[in-house]
Amino acid sequence: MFMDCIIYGKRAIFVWGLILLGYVTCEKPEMKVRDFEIYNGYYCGICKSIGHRYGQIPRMTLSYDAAFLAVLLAGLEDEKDKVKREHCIIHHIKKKTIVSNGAVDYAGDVMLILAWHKAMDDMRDEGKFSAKASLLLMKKIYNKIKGRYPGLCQKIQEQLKELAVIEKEKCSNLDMAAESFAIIMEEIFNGYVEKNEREQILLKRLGYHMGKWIYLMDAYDDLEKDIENGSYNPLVYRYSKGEEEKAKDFAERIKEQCERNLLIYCSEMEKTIDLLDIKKNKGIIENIVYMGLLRRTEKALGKEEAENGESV
Amino acid sequence: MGNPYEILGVSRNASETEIKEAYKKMVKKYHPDKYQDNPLGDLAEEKLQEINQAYDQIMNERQGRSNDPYGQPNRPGPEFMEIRRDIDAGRLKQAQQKLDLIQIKSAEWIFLDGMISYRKGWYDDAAGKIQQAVNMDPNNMEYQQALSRLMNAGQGYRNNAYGRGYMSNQDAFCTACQCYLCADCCCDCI
Repeated sequence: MFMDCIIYGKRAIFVWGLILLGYVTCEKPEMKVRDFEIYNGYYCGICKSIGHRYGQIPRMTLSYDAAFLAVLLAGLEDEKDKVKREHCIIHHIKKKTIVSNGAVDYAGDVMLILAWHKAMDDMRDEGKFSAKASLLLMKKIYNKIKGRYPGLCQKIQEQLKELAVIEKEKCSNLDMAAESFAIIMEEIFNGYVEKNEREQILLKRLGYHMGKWIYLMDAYDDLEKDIENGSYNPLVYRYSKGEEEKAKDFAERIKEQCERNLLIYCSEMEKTIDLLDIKKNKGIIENIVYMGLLRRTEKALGKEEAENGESV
Repeated sequence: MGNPYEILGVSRNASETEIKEAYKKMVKKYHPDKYQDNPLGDLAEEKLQEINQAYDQIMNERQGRSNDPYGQPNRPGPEFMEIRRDIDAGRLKQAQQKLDLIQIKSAEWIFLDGMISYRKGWYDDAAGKIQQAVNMDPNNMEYQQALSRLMNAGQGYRNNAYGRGYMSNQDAFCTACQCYLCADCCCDCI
């Protein structure tokens, strides 16, 4: 039925679901109320943008990671955002702030590309009828987006294949395991509009390191579950888990190394943000990169209860 | 060049100490040490130059002064010189190819292999290799420095976050206030 069907790896698609879930969040106690309103306006804006252009069904696949992408890409442009207050399906009583601009549309498209790959995997896995039905609709949408961003879609597909191979080989090099995912993120951050060379370098680097960060965060988060289910997790091979070693002890043993790597990624993202010429949304972007990532990292490492930095 | 005041992020009528403060902060932010062996080094240097110029311009405008030289570190090395140059210039593929042609895997070889990984963003891989180079040649200061820089690369990020107010709502003073408030509420009840 689908010509371009890819055989996905289990982990590949799980990580995939994660961009849809949202790891990149803000540090709410330190965010200005005004910034927070706009940040949410981007989130709602992406949802609305998808709804306007593709109908209601695919709207469900949205996360704050997409909001960050839109906030950042819009922040690099001079143009003023269009801000409206509107009702929406989920919040039909209170009016919500809605931001609309090109970056918001792009973030919506990216989310749908991801959703498409996820849906394909669901279908292959379970062969559910409902999955097949929604897939037909998704395919139409995906083809439209593919027409608009052929290069991006192509590269994502290639890297997903790579990811599946690496998983099958049970790769023990953490960087190699994360590479494909990082490249996908790199392409996503760089795929919006033509930029000058300087901005391209910075955006790619930001995307790359965010990809590595998300990948490792997810691997650490799921460690115990993966060990229990016997699924591939790069950390098990990287730090050679002993046969008798309990999952909890293993997680504890490698915590420091994981933290060191995660913070390096954060530090690199911080540097790119410092160097980017941000014209709008600076408060939001800096809040997320300077503090939100740290909060999420520490939460994953179990350093604190973290009731603060949660997404809304 | 743009408006020097905007570059430093101060208002036109900022005092001299304010300008100096802002300048120091910016220099720290883009300092070459922070970007050593980092591909963004050139961009940071550009930025730093811009900041230096802006600061000089303001100071010259206000009274006339100039300052600030930076030392450039020098590095030794035998037949690996060319590979090092490639790595520094970001020609990682060429560097890797040339490296692969060398048969003997000396400490220097492993170190440079690690530096290529570092440049690629493969920090975990790099840490392992550079550690190995240090083990093979424990007296080499350069290897040691590279290793400790890598080990501590993320710490700056965390420190900056705390400097920017991360967790400031959970400091001891705040807790003390909360205790005080709770106690105060109790008083009201009674």
